[in-house]
Amino acid sequence: MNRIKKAVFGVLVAGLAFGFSAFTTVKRQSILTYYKTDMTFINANDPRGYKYYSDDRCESEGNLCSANWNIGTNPTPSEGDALPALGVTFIANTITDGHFE
Amino acid sequence: MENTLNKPSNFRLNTKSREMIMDIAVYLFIILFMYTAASKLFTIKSFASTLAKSPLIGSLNMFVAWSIPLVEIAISLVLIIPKYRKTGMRAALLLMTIFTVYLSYMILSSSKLPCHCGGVISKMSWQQHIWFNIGFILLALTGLQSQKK
Repeated sequence: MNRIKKAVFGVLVAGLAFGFSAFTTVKRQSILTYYKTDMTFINANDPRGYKYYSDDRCESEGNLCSANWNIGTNPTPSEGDALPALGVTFIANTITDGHFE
Repeated sequence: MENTLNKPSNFRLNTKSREMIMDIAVYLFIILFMYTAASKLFTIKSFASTLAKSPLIGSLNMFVAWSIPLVEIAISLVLIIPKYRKTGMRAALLLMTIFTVYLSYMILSSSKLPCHCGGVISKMSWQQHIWFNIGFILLALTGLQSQKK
């Protein structure tokens, strides 16, 4: 492979990797991380007791800090909004250990 | 027996094979850096807030959050240019070594590890991250070794 071909192939690989990352990140818009702020409702798949925060609010120690939920057609939440009770789906195997702080 | 041991190895890769090894290493690093840089840039707020929890980074979190993906993109661009790819590979090796030392320090010293970093690779645990990084460090070393005359 000559130098120009290598460079062109490199640009192609870089563009595809960047594009794939953008695609997978944007596609996850309706799946959001909610934090279990109220441990009165201890079950991870119980939508009660969850709140939305865009930043990482987990600390170590504990077995349920956050989980991903598909909010479907519900509006995009703002900071501190509770997880809607209807039209949401718990995403299995997305529980983060630790506790909300 | 002694003669056999002292005999220089006849195993030498030809130029084409050595070039191919370097090419594979270069493209894998470009994929890794462009993918992770994009995922960090698209979730920059979350990435910065995770970094803020690190005792080594703390208030420099925004600077580091922007610097890491930009450096990754810069290294990828250097790797793309055939004339400078050895330099790019050395930079990639240095960056991966810094990441690995940082991860090792965090695991050994910190009782409160931030939970995640960003991107699909973030599904790995910190220990798995170290093994993943070591794999890429070995890849960079193999690529650089293959270019030695």
